[in-house]
Amino acid sequence: MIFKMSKIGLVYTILREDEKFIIEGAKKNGVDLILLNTDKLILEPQKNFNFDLLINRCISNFIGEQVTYFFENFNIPVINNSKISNICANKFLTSIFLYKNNIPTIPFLVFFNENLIEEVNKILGDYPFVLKPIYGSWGRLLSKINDKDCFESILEHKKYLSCPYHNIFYTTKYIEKPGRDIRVTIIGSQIICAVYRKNSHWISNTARGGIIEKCELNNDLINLCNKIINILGEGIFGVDIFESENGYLVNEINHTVEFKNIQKTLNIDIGSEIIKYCLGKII
Amino acid sequence: MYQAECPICGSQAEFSSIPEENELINCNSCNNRLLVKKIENNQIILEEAPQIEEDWGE
Repeated sequence: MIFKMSKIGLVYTILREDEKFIIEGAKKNGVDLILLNTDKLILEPQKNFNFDLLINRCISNFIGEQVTYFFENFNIPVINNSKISNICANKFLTSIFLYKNNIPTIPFLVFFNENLIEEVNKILGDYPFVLKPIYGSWGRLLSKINDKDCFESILEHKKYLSCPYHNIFYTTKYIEKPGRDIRVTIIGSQIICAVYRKNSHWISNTARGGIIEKCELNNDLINLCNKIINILGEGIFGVDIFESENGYLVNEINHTVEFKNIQKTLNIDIGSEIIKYCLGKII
Repeated sequence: MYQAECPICGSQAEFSSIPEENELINCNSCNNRLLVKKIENNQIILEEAPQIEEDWGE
């Protein structure tokens, strides 16, 4: 019997520590990993790409999106697939997905005209609110809206930003957190680990200086994440969860999940786990 | 051992093997984030890591 050697592609914009952990994981598991640098990549239908599955690690959301569309349409599975990527990349779509599937999340709305802030105030209730770009990450351009004056001022500034999606005013209630949030890392249908991201700032991302500590998984967290996996489908993602006075609230789901700090702090070989999961999808 | 000059502080960054293009590294001397821009005939060219773009992230 001849066994086919599995080849996995990894497409990247910048090779960070996270991607290097995946490369190490491939070496440990004897996998032939083919690296695709988007600076050198030309996607054209006649070209043969010599791998069975692609791990999309593009740091640029929009480049990653095109890469996924291309390879999926030429029957090379991509992790994460376009369904997961689309839902996770667009925060408004994530909110709709969570709400529609009865997964507890933060009250949200979208509007397009700054003259509607009185009505928005009536719907969302008392300030503060949080205004976020529908695309973006690492807590970038998040605004905590403490009152009407602040709301008017921020919306006026956003009107002059060049990117059209800054005129989509995605607004949520502000949730008071106990100085931390929870990040759950999921690979396939398996919950790998959970960490607290502690930060005295209201934005708790580790990219903004948040400190990581292990969080013990309890039944409520496990059930919540299993529900997300069952509805969203298998993939590699990070779920951000707030602890509110009304229980857990899912804030975001990240589809190009960063894990270097988690791997180093908890000593879990997430890079290898990603490779093992991908191998299982080929064989 | 391979070496390349840090474009910011001018010190020599060392690599045990040839890195990948667009690999992110930290300069051991000035601690700035650098990117492996080009590799030609085992010669490694570094540049300052790019600023964060608006659609970058998780």
